[in-house]
Amino acid sequence: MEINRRESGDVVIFDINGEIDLYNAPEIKEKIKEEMNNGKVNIIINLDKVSYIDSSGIGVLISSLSNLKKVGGALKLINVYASVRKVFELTKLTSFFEIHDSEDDALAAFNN
Amino acid sequence: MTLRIAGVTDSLSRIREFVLSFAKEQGFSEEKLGEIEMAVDEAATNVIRHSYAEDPEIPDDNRVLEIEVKGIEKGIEVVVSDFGKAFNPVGVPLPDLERHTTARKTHGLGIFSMKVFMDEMAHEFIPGIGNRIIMRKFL
Repeated sequence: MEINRRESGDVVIFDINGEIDLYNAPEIKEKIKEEMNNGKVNIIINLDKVSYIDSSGIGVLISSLSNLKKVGGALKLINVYASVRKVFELTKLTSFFEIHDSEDDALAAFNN
Repeated sequence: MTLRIAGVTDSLSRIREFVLSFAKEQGFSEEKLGEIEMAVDEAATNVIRHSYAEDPEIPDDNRVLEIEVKGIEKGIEVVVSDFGKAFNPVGVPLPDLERHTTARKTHGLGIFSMKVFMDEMAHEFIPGIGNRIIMRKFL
Protein backbone atom coordinates (compact mmCIF):
# COMPACT_ATOMS: atom_id res chain seq x y z
CA MET A 1 0.00 0.00 0.00
CA GLU A 2 1.21 3.48 -0.85
CA ILE A 3 -0.08 6.73 0.59
CA ASN A 4 0.52 9.96 -1.27
CA ARG A 5 -0.27 13.27 0.35
CA ARG A 6 -1.56 16.40 -1.34
CA GLU A 7 -3.12 19.63 -0.14
CA SER A 8 -5.91 21.75 -1.53
CA GLY A 9 -6.39 24.86 0.57
CA ASP A 10 -6.69 23.69 4.14
CA VAL A 11 -7.80 20.21 3.10
CA VAL A 12 -5.33 17.32 3.10
CA ILE A 13 -5.92 14.63 0.48
CA PHE A 14 -4.49 11.14 0.83
CA ASP A 15 -4.39 9.08 -2.35
CA ILE A 16 -4.13 5.45 -1.33
CA ASN A 17 -2.93 2.80 -3.73
CA GLY A 18 -3.17 -0.93 -3.01
CA GLU A 19 -4.83 -3.14 -0.43
CA ILE A 20 -5.73 -2.12 3.12
CA ASP A 21 -5.60 -4.77 5.85
CA LEU A 22 -4.48 -5.29 9.44
CA TYR A 23 -0.85 -5.10 8.32
CA ASN A 24 -0.95 -1.60 6.92
CA ALA A 25 -4.17 0.00 8.19
CA PRO A 26 -2.40 1.51 11.26
CA GLU A 27 -0.24 3.53 8.85
CA ILE A 28 -3.30 5.44 7.68
CA LYS A 29 -4.29 6.17 11.26
CA GLU A 30 -0.78 7.43 12.00
CA LYS A 31 -0.79 9.72 8.95
CA ILE A 32 -4.10 11.25 10.02
CA LYS A 33 -2.83 11.69 13.58
CA GLU A 34 0.23 13.52 12.26
CA GLU A 35 -2.03 15.89 10.33
CA MET A 36 -4.13 16.50 13.43
CA ASN A 37 -0.98 17.28 15.42
CA ASN A 38 -0.14 19.87 12.77
CA GLY A 39 -3.61 21.40 13.01
CA LYS A 40 -4.92 19.85 9.78
CA VAL A 41 -8.32 18.39 10.56
CA ASN A 42 -10.08 18.33 7.19
CA ILE A 43 -9.11 15.16 5.38
CA ILE A 44 -10.13 13.48 2.14
CA ILE A 45 -9.24 9.86 1.53
CA ASN A 46 -9.15 8.87 -2.12
CA LEU A 47 -9.90 5.16 -2.49
CA ASP A 48 -9.79 5.18 -6.29
CA LYS A 49 -6.83 2.80 -6.43
CA VAL A 50 -7.78 0.66 -3.44
CA SER A 51 -8.71 -2.82 -4.61
CA TYR A 52 -9.38 -4.29 -1.19
CA ILE A 53 -10.22 -3.16 2.33
CA ASP A 54 -10.91 -5.38 5.33
CA SER A 55 -12.53 -4.69 8.69
CA SER A 56 -9.22 -3.44 10.10
CA GLY A 57 -9.13 -0.76 7.41
CA ILE A 58 -12.74 0.14 8.03
CA GLY A 59 -12.02 0.28 11.75
CA VAL A 60 -9.22 2.76 11.17
CA LEU A 61 -11.49 4.97 9.06
CA ILE A 62 -14.22 4.87 11.73
CA SER A 63 -11.85 5.76 14.57
CA SER A 64 -10.11 8.46 12.51
CA LEU A 65 -13.42 10.05 11.61
CA SER A 66 -14.37 9.96 15.26
CA ASN A 67 -11.10 11.59 16.33
CA LEU A 68 -11.39 14.30 13.69
CA LYS A 69 -14.98 15.10 14.65
CA LYS A 70 -13.94 15.59 18.25
CA VAL A 71 -11.69 18.46 17.20
CA GLY A 72 -14.15 19.98 14.75
CA GLY A 73 -12.72 18.31 11.67
CA ALA A 74 -14.08 15.88 9.12
CA LEU A 75 -13.13 12.92 7.00
CA LYS A 76 -14.62 12.44 3.54
CA LEU A 77 -14.14 9.50 1.23
CA ILE A 78 -14.01 9.71 -2.54
CA ASN A 79 -14.02 7.20 -5.40
CA VAL A 80 -15.35 4.21 -3.46
CA TYR A 81 -15.88 1.56 -6.11
CA ALA A 82 -16.73 -2.10 -6.68
CA SER A 83 -15.83 -4.53 -3.91
CA VAL A 84 -14.74 -1.76 -1.55
CA ARG A 85 -18.13 -0.07 -1.97
CA LYS A 86 -19.86 -3.38 -1.37
CA VAL A 87 -18.07 -3.78 1.94
CA PHE A 88 -19.25 -0.32 2.94
CA GLU A 89 -22.80 -1.10 1.89
CA LEU A 90 -22.99 -4.44 3.66
CA THR A 91 -21.62 -2.97 6.85
CA LYS A 92 -24.08 -0.07 6.51
CA LEU A 93 -21.27 2.44 6.47
CA THR A 94 -22.36 4.30 3.35
CA SER A 95 -24.62 6.44 5.50
CA PHE A 96 -22.09 6.76 8.29
CA PHE A 97 -19.32 8.14 6.11
CA GLU A 98 -19.59 11.07 3.80
CA ILE A 99 -18.80 9.54 0.43
CA HIS A 100 -18.42 11.70 -2.68
CA ASP A 101 -18.08 10.70 -6.29
CA SER A 102 -15.30 13.14 -7.01
CA GLU A 103 -12.62 15.21 -5.33
CA ASP A 104 -14.28 18.41 -6.51
CA ASP A 105 -17.54 17.43 -4.80
CA ALA A 106 -15.74 16.62 -1.54
CA LEU A 107 -13.77 19.89 -1.62
CA ALA A 108 -16.97 21.83 -2.34
CA ALA A 109 -18.62 20.12 0.65
CA PHE A 110 -15.77 21.29 2.88
CA ASN A 111 -16.12 24.84 1.58
CA ASN A 112 -19.85 24.86 2.28
CA MET B 1 -3.78 -27.71 -1.23
CA THR B 2 -2.49 -26.18 2.00
CA LEU B 3 -0.56 -23.03 2.81
CA ARG B 4 1.30 -23.00 6.12
CA ILE B 5 2.41 -19.51 6.99
CA ALA B 6 3.51 -17.37 9.95
CA GLY B 7 0.60 -15.95 11.94
CA VAL B 8 1.59 -12.33 11.45
CA THR B 9 -0.08 -9.42 9.68
CA ASP B 10 2.56 -9.48 6.96
CA SER B 11 1.15 -12.85 5.84
CA LEU B 12 -2.35 -11.58 5.06
CA SER B 13 -1.73 -10.56 1.45
CA ARG B 14 -0.11 -13.93 0.70
CA ILE B 15 -3.10 -15.75 2.26
CA ARG B 16 -5.54 -13.74 0.12
CA GLU B 17 -3.51 -14.41 -3.00
CA PHE B 18 -3.35 -18.17 -2.26
CA VAL B 19 -7.11 -18.52 -1.77
CA LEU B 20 -8.04 -16.22 -4.65
CA SER B 21 -5.85 -18.06 -7.08
CA PHE B 22 -7.55 -21.38 -6.26
CA ALA B 23 -11.06 -19.88 -6.22
CA LYS B 24 -10.51 -18.31 -9.64
CA GLU B 25 -9.75 -21.74 -11.07
CA GLN B 26 -13.11 -22.97 -9.75
CA GLY B 27 -14.92 -20.36 -11.85
CA PHE B 28 -16.28 -17.93 -9.25
CA SER B 29 -17.53 -14.53 -10.39
CA GLU B 30 -15.50 -11.42 -9.55
CA GLU B 31 -18.09 -10.48 -6.96
CA LYS B 32 -17.93 -13.82 -5.18
CA LEU B 33 -14.14 -13.86 -5.37
CA GLY B 34 -14.14 -10.58 -3.43
CA GLU B 35 -16.42 -12.11 -0.81
CA ILE B 36 -14.23 -15.20 -0.39
CA GLU B 37 -11.14 -12.99 -0.18
CA MET B 38 -12.57 -10.92 2.62
CA ALA B 39 -13.99 -13.83 4.62
CA VAL B 40 -10.67 -15.69 4.64
CA ASP B 41 -8.72 -12.52 5.42
CA GLU B 42 -11.03 -11.85 8.36
CA ALA B 43 -10.69 -15.39 9.71
CA ALA B 44 -6.89 -15.07 9.62
CA THR B 45 -6.97 -11.51 10.97
CA ASN B 46 -9.03 -12.65 13.98
CA VAL B 47 -6.44 -15.27 14.89
CA ILE B 48 -3.48 -12.90 14.46
CA ARG B 49 -5.10 -10.02 16.29
CA HIS B 50 -7.05 -11.72 19.07
CA SER B 51 -5.25 -14.98 19.69
CA TYR B 52 -1.59 -14.85 18.73
CA ALA B 53 -1.05 -11.19 19.56
CA GLU B 54 -2.78 -11.39 22.94
CA ASP B 55 -1.62 -14.75 24.25
CA PRO B 56 2.05 -14.84 25.27
CA GLU B 57 1.74 -18.49 26.32
CA ILE B 58 1.54 -19.76 22.76
CA PRO B 59 4.98 -21.09 21.74
CA ASP B 60 6.56 -19.28 18.78
CA ASP B 61 6.56 -22.50 16.74
CA ASN B 62 2.78 -22.64 17.05
CA ARG B 63 2.13 -19.11 15.86
CA VAL B 64 1.30 -20.24 12.38
CA LEU B 65 -1.80 -20.47 10.24
CA GLU B 66 -2.77 -23.25 7.91
CA ILE B 67 -5.06 -22.41 5.03
CA GLU B 68 -6.47 -25.38 3.20
CA VAL B 69 -8.49 -25.01 0.00
CA LYS B 70 -10.34 -27.68 -1.89
CA GLY B 71 -13.02 -27.95 -4.51
CA ILE B 72 -16.38 -29.35 -3.46
CA GLU B 73 -19.52 -29.94 -5.52
CA LYS B 74 -20.36 -26.57 -7.09
CA GLY B 75 -18.08 -24.65 -4.80
CA ILE B 76 -15.05 -24.31 -2.62
CA GLU B 77 -14.15 -25.19 0.96
CA VAL B 78 -11.60 -23.16 2.85
CA VAL B 79 -10.34 -24.29 6.25
CA VAL B 80 -8.40 -21.85 8.40
CA SER B 81 -6.56 -23.61 11.24
CA ASP B 82 -4.75 -22.04 14.15
CA PHE B 83 -2.92 -23.33 17.22
CA GLY B 84 -4.32 -20.97 19.83
CA LYS B 85 -6.99 -21.21 22.51
CA ALA B 86 -10.56 -22.15 21.70
CA PHE B 87 -12.57 -19.43 19.99
CA ASN B 88 -15.78 -20.04 18.10
CA PRO B 89 -16.68 -17.17 15.76
CA VAL B 90 -19.76 -19.06 14.62
CA GLY B 91 -21.25 -18.59 18.08
CA VAL B 92 -20.74 -14.82 18.08
CA PRO B 93 -24.03 -13.07 17.31
CA LEU B 94 -24.12 -10.66 14.38
CA PRO B 95 -23.67 -7.07 15.58
CA ASP B 96 -26.37 -4.46 15.14
CA LEU B 97 -24.41 -2.48 12.60
CA GLU B 98 -26.48 0.69 12.87
CA ARG B 99 -25.73 0.93 16.58
CA HIS B 100 -22.26 -0.44 16.09
CA THR B 101 -21.05 2.38 13.88
CA THR B 102 -22.91 5.07 15.78
CA ALA B 103 -21.06 3.92 18.89
CA ARG B 104 -17.81 4.10 16.87
CA LYS B 105 -17.08 0.47 17.60
CA THR B 106 -14.60 -1.10 15.25
CA HIS B 107 -14.60 -4.73 16.36
CA GLY B 108 -17.08 -7.33 15.22
CA LEU B 109 -17.12 -6.35 11.56
CA GLY B 110 -14.71 -9.16 10.71
CA ILE B 111 -16.92 -11.94 11.99
CA PHE B 112 -19.90 -10.23 10.40
CA SER B 113 -18.11 -10.33 7.05
CA MET B 114 -17.24 -14.02 7.39
CA LYS B 115 -20.83 -14.94 8.15
CA VAL B 116 -22.38 -12.75 5.50
CA PHE B 117 -19.96 -13.51 2.67
CA MET B 118 -19.72 -17.28 3.00
CA ASP B 119 -22.61 -19.70 2.47
CA GLU B 120 -21.66 -22.10 5.26
CA MET B 121 -19.42 -21.73 8.25
CA ALA B 122 -18.52 -24.18 11.01
CA HIS B 123 -16.04 -24.31 13.87
CA GLU B 124 -14.13 -27.17 15.45
CA PHE B 125 -11.81 -27.04 18.42
CA ILE B 126 -9.37 -29.87 18.86
CA PRO B 127 -8.06 -29.78 22.46
CA GLY B 128 -4.30 -29.52 22.61
CA ILE B 129 -4.12 -28.45 18.97
CA GLY B 130 -6.33 -25.52 18.07
CA ASN B 131 -9.26 -24.19 16.06
CA ARG B 132 -10.51 -24.98 12.58
CA ILE B 133 -12.86 -22.61 10.83
CA ILE B 134 -14.52 -24.36 7.92
CA MET B 135 -16.10 -22.09 5.34
CA ARG B 136 -17.88 -23.04 2.14
CA LYS B 137 -18.92 -20.91 -0.79
CA PHE B 138 -20.96 -22.06 -3.76
CA LEU B 139 -20.78 -20.89 -7.35
